[in-house]
This record gives sequence, structure tokens and C-alpha cells, in this order.
Amino acid sequence: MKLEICVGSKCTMFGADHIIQSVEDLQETVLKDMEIAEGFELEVSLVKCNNRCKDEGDVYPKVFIDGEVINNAHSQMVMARILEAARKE
Amino acid sequence: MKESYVDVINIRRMVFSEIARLAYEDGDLTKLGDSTYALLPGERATYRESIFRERAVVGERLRLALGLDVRSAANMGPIEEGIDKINLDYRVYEPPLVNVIPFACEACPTKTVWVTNNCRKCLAHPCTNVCPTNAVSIEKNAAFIHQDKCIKCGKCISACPYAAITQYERPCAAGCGVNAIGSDELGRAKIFHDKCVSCGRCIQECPFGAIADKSEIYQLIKSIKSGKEVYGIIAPSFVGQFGALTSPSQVVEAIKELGITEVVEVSLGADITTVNEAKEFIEEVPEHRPYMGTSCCSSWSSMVKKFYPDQYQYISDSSSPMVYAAQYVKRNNPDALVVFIGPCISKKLEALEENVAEYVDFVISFEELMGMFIAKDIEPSEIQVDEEIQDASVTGRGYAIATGVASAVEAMIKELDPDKKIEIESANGLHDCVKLMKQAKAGKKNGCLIEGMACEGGCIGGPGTLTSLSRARKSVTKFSNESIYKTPSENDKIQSKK
Repeated sequence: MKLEICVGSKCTMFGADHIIQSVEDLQETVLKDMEIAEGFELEVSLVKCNNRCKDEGDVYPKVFIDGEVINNAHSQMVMARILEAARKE
Repeated sequence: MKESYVDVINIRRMVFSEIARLAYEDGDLTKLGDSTYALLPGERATYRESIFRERAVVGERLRLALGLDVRSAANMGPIEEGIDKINLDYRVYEPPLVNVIPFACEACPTKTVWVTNNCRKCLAHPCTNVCPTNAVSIEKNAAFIHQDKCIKCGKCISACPYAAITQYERPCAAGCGVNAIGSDELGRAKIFHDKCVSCGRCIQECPFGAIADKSEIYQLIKSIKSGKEVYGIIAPSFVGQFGALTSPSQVVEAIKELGITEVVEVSLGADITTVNEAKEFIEEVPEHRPYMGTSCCSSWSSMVKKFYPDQYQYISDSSSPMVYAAQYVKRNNPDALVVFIGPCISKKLEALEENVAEYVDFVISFEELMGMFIAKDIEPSEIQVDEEIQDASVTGRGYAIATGVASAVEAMIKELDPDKKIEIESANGLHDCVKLMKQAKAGKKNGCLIEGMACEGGCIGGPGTLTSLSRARKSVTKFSNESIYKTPSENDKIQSKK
């Protein structure tokens, strides 16, 4: 699973930091202790803004899960998606 | 800030970007009420039980961000009352800095030991048997603690086999290292301003976002817009705060895009502090002073002054890095105004002090600066920049992390007087600072240089920060090591000061 977290100014101001923190923590704790599905690999990267959200209103923070855009992302939802994918048979 | 308090942080920060926007766009402050609707549109509450209360609280936050005093729910005036007093292009800042918004406060119970509904009314009921004041009785469905008898010793908590008894404290009061938070007549949190040292811990701790500090963003922006020449001095903890992919040079460039003429690292001032404190320690300790305390954290100094006044003479006479950096700027540019940009809210008060006010004209936090970037649509991580900033040494940049100051001074002492005996000790978090001072007063820290940092982790853990401690620590350390000056002695920018 490819998780990209935008770290532009608005995303940083309104929650990206906590998402990064939560995912890093997840990798060090829950993911380490559980049984991971075959072939699952979590790739986390921080991406630049690229003025993506210019005319979109209040969509921050933005994350991309396997290319899917998620606006107003929050850590619990991102973590749940990761675990769901990690558990799949 | 507590990263996991996402909603509280968002409320706080959207106020900063809104005030910055109003300042930049010459918004009509008499229509301040419109901003509460802009920030919280619609009919449904997002954060509190009613959208009316939400807007009222945000309204008070907007007022505080403008520099106005907080009001109670009994105040009949419109939200924009008093606007003329602050609609200025120079600092007009008056304490109190830290304020409880009374009607946002949920009057959380103060320290209480409480039987939860996990109690199974077991046959053993050890809770009753261990209580030294006979405060626990078994009622119809569960154990019950009579609060008037309870001395909060916690024995029943450990005795209970179901972890059914818990102790909770009011988060703001529990976080306060100097016990400066009590209650008003309605049980709501009340700050005792004679005790408060403005560290901002309570602001970070309150889960209801009921405590906020006053800001100077509006007046700063108006000042820049009026054509005044404003220089920025930025604290060493700034690295990595403005987006994980934003480099320090990009931050400096972004600040210039706001209309600020030039940016100097406060670490340059830190290098001067290092030299001065090293010389002071060598001369003073132990012949004239049993120990010496650092003076760069203004909440630490304030705490010593208020609670250990007889020890205040042992705190370094050195000015803080902020002051030295501001003096450096003004020496070379006498007509310039200086804005200190840091992780701190305490510096807002330090900048009002008699010997400091003429050098530091404004103080804003990193959160507030980010609010300005957002209001002006500046994206620091996208800025093209080639130059590196090199104003300070490795150790000067290290001031941002707890133990950094003491280590810097110790290293300088070893340079100047290799045979000098010195031990260093550091405390971070106001509770630990108080403990350290107690020990120093009791004569247990003689011969030491003691460093007090009111925020946990040091400055990188300040209330105005945007990044987690661990990431901030990594970023600051990396940037420190990129300095071309290994020690303050190599920093040619401060040579004339020596």
C-alpha cells in the first residue's frame, strides 16, 4: 500500500503532523506485532504541496492511498485503512 | 502542542490564519462577527454542543488574537467592542497573556478519587478496608467515596481488583508546574496571574480548548503594510516546523515574501549568550555564587523570581539570545523594527520588559507565522532558494533542545578555561524546573550550571510549535551540524561584540 501524506503549509497547519505521527507509531507497534497478509507492504512518503488544493476550499489535510485522494483525512481513518489492507487474506 | 488534540489545535490555528487574513486584506474589524460565521458556517455544531456556543468561543479567540481582553458571558457588548484600541500598526500588548475563556471552560472536577461503574460490589471490598479515613462505604450497587473525608491517598485505587476506582485531575491545573490554576465562583478554571509564568502548558493541556493566549499578529502585519522596515529574528527551534519538506532557507525566504526585510537566526544571539555565560560562570562560581542558572527561558526566570526570589541573584545576568539577536539587528539597522519568531508565548511578555522592549517590537509564534503564510497563500516548500543561512554555530543552534544551552556553555568554558570545574544539570517541563530549583536552594547543586526549560523537551516542545518533538529534534540536530562554525569562537558575525 502506498501512502502519501501532503506536507504543504495548510496540511501541516491542520493535522498532517498527527497523521504522520500516528502512522509511524502504527508501524512500530501494531503492525510489528500482528500477522501481516502475504505481499502487503506499507510504503509511506511525504509529498510536497504542488498547489493541489488551490481552488478546492477546506480540503486539508490531504493524503493519497494508492493514488486515491482523501480530503480532510484524519489519523484514525488512515490507520484503519492500513490495518484493513494489512489483514486481508 | 499535543498533536493528538487535533480539533482543539485546528480551532486555535484557524483563528490565526483568519486574523492574518483580516490584517492583510484590510478587513473591516467592526464586522468581526462575520468571521465567526466564516470559520464555523452552517447550522450544525462541529465541536461543541451548540453552534452558538462554538461561535461565541471562537469569537473570544479572535478577540484574543487581536490583542483584546477576554470577556465573560455576562458581557453585553458586541464582539467588536474595543476594536479601536488595537487596530494599530504598533504593538499595544497588555497582560494577562494567558486567559481562560470562561464560558468555554467545562469546570472539570479538580483532583478527585472516584468509583467508576466498573465496580462489581465484590465480597472482598478491599477499598473500604484500606481507607485511612473511613471514607469508602458500600452502597446499594457499588462502593462510594465520601469526598469530604477522602484525602486522595490512592490506597483504594491500588486495592481494587477491577481497576474500578480512578483518580482524575483537572488537566490544566495538573499540567501547571507552579499551581497557578484554581477555580472561580462557578468552579471554572481561574489563572492566578501573580503565580502564572506564562509557559503555556495549560493552553496545550485543556481538552476543551478553553485557554488561549493573546497575539500580536494583526499589529505586526499592519506595521509591515504601513511600510515600516521589519526584521525577523527566528528562534533555533524553527527547523522542520513549517512542513516536513521545507528547508530552513525556504522558511527564511517565505518570511521575506511576507514583506519582512531580512531574517537573522536567534542562534546568533545564543552564541553571544554562550560566551557571556561561560565567562560569568568562570568568574562567579564558586567564589561569588554557589551555582549559576541559565537565563534564556523567560518562564524559568520568571518562576525563580516569583517563587525563589532569594535565588534569583544566581541566575545569569546575561540577556537572552532573543535580546542579543535583536540588538545585533538594531546596531546595524537603527530604524528597523524587530519581530521575534519562536515556539514560545512567554517571550511575548519578556519583550515588554523594560530593557527588552526597545529592542524587540513584536513577538509571534510559529503557529502564528504559519497563519500568515496561509493568509498570503505562501507555500514555503515550493520556494526556490539557493543560499544557505549561516548566522550561528553548532552549539548556538542546539539551544532549541533541552540540555543544549548547558552543553554549549560547558563547551565554551572548556575552551576558555580548560581546568575550570563544572557540572551541568538540566530540567525540562516546569514541574521539573521547580524541583531543580528546590534542590539548588537546598545547596545540592553547588558548582553546577543549571539549565531550566519550562517546556518539555526544551523549546522544540513549546506551545507555538507545529511539529512533534521527535521530528523537531531530528531536524534541529541536522541543521545544527550544518553550521560552518563549530563553536561561537568561530562565528565571525559576533566577533565585534566580544
